Amino acid sequence: MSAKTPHAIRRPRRWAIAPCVAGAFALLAAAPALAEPAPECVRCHGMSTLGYQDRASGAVVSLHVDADAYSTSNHADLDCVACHKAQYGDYPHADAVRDEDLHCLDCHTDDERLARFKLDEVGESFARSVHVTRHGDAFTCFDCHDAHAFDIARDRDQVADVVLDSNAICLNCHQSTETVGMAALAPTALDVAHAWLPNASLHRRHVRCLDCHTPDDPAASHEILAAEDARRACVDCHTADSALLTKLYRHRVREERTRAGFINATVFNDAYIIGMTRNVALDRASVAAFVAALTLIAAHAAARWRATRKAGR
Amino acid sequence: MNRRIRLYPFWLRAWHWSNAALFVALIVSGVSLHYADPSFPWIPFRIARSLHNVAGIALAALYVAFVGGNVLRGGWRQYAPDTTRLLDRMRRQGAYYLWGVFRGEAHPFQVTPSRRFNPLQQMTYLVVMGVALPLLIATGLLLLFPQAAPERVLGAGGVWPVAVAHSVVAFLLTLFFLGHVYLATMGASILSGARGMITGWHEPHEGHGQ
Ligand code: HEC
Ligand code: HEC
Ligand code: HEC
Ligand code: HEC
Ligand code: HEC
Ligand code: HEC
Ligand code: HEC
Repeated sequence: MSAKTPHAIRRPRRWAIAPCVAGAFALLAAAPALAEPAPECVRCHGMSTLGYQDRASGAVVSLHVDADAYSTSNHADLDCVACHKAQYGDYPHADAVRDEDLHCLDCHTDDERLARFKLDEVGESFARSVHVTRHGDAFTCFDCHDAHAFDIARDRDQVADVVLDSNAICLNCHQSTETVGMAALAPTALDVAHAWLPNASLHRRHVRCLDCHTPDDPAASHEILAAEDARRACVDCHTADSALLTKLYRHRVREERTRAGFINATVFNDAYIIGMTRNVALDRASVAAFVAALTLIAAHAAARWRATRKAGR
Repeated sequence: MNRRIRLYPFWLRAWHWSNAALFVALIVSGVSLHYADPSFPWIPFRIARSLHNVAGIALAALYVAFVGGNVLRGGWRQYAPDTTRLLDRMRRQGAYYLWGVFRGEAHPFQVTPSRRFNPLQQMTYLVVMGVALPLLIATGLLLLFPQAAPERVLGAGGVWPVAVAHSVVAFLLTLFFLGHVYLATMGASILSGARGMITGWHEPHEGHGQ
């Protein structure tokens, strides 16, 4: 595992990650399944009120780590000091331990267990996102993925839950009242920016921010585009060949894609999406009935016309 | 029986033509929404949506006015089916449409102010006005306020069955619309049905002293 990742966007590393991770694995091998995450840290950081007031801005910065969320997260089995420096074991923490700089890929390059997430593509598209192009190193994976809670490997079969979790990440900053850090810099007037979109609350619950704010290329899942490049055309989604098939619904569509008819409707049965959720059988039946009705009428009219002409003669 | 009869009061005629205009607007915008396709932009999606919403709400309001008007003015009696030998009378009307009309036979039922509809018409309108239209309006309102739709129906999202019901009923009503327009040409002359609905006067059918 090298500290040199394809993302040359990190600040110079103050501490070598490799020994720490090796240590983490050694620790895991020795004592698997901690009942509770590092009790010596949670003793203080488990308190929801633990925090301090930032001198410069006057804002309260929370130092709380939710032990419950931690114990169901992807890193539940990691000791706190797998990521944080071991010196945090001492309190008061020495000033020298501060200024850590972590990145998922520092630990997970060429990690086979995470192969299906294509982390290299994630990292590359992340580096192209507006967040990074505008704020560089200051923006990291952990600005969106709470280091102490995220559970991205979890399989959620309800699309509505996927949308909720996914959007919550963005709304953390884009709808926050924070006065420090990245959140303070984020544009927050979302309802103004999206006033053009009708049924706003419905869309917010059934479609991800990412479905409009990233390119259609699946390899660009983390490339947040600038606002002016975001998707705006209703028919991108509201049509039979909807962009959502390769985005939000990509997991479910995989095996059902080729089948037609009622499947089309039931695969997406969580939502009705005008223009997209069509029932092929019903569509065909309605066209056939329409043509039949017109033919009948035309035949009847022709027969009437002949009858009146005969009568007139 | 050769006199012109005063058949349609003004409020009914006004309702009829507004309803007809809304029907056309709803069919056109509805088809455009259902078959939305970027490579074939018929009516822009957001415009079709607004048009459909406005026309749909207006149609619902008109329906309420129509029911109210019929209750107040006694028009509902036109819809109360007379069950004596109903099937036989429906059969006679059907036979007229299928072959009688080609042989120059007279309409089997005379139009009178107290009985405007022939038996087939009456049953069709009863289903259309009493069942289909209320269903269409109810499902349409649910689509407008999807939070009121059931959360889940048989394990599927609740909006979905509502939407399917809405499009099926809307489609059947479109077929009714076609048939209605065509049958309206079967009066004394091709346009006399439409003229009657404009002036309020019914022109007697041919075959009675023409
Ligand atoms: C006795 C209580 C206590 C214990 C035990 C404790 N901490 Fe802390 N920790 C604090 C307090 C208070 C602060 C904030 C003041 C400071 O930065 O020193 C803090 C700050 C931190 C910060 C830095 C926050 C920042 O943004 O500057 C980290 C990281 C941290 N602790 C990790 C740990 C880890 C890991 C452990 C366990 C190995 C641990 N702490 C154990 C009380 C504690
Ligand atoms: C997977 C690596 C990882 C593990 C394991 C981890 N942390 Fe962190 N922690 C981070 C990162 C990254 C940050 C900085 C977050 C940021 O930039 O906002 C952080 C920040 C903190 C902070 C500062 C306040 C905050 O929430 O931002 C505290 C306190 C802290 N961690 C305590 C803990 C404790 C206690 C544990 C063990 C229960 C732990 N951490 C386990 C990665 C980790
Ligand atoms: C300090 C190194 C470190 C960092 C930084 C780190 N991880 Fe991990 N991660 C690990 C280790 C070690 C494990 C293995 C834990 C285990 O076996 O349960 C792990 C496990 C995981 C798993 C679960 C894999 C599975 O199949 O169960 C996922 C998913 C994951 N990490 C994603 C991430 C993401 C996304 C980030 C960045 C937000 C990240 N990690 C940052 C070290 C790290
Ligand atoms: C701007 C916020 C943001 C940043 C920064 C970010 N992610 Fe994500 N990430 C998300 C969101 C939102 C999802 C949820 C996708 C979904 O809807 O399923 C996600 C999902 C993931 C997944 C799950 C796999 C998948 O495609 O669903 C992985 C792995 C991941 N991120 C890794 C990373 C790594 C590694 C970084 C840093 C290089 C990073 N993320 C930075 C927002 C972010
Ligand atoms: C850690 C806080 C944070 C999170 C989480 C976050 N953003 Fe941002 N976002 C920002 C900041 C700060 C900016 C302002 C960039 C600038 O213009 O300086 C921004 C800018 C943007 C812009 C560009 C606006 C413009 O002016 O062009 C878009 C689009 C955007 N974010 C979408 C998202 C999406 C989608 C997510 C979730 C995947 C997300 N953001 C998550 C902080 C965040
Ligand atoms: C249906 C597509 C769509 C969805 C869903 C969507 N956006 Fe947007 N968003 C846009 C478009 C288009 C713009 C550009 C609006 C403009 O410039 O007039 C935009 C603008 C923005 C901006 C820039 C705001 C500003 O003031 O500059 C941010 C930030 C943003 N969106 C974040 C989000 C977040 C967070 C979500 C999820 C809760 C989201 N968007 C969901 C299409 C969408
Ligand atoms: C990113 C994809 C996307 C885009 C772009 C989009 N929509 Fe939607 N829209 C959806 C989804 C998904 C739903 C389904 C909500 C549900 O489950 O009921 C929806 C629902 C709707 C509904 C409610 C329909 C119903 O009965 O549930 C309307 C109306 C609507 N969209 C109109 C629009 C208009 C107008 C635009 C363009 C200005 C637009 N949408 C752009 C994805 C999109």
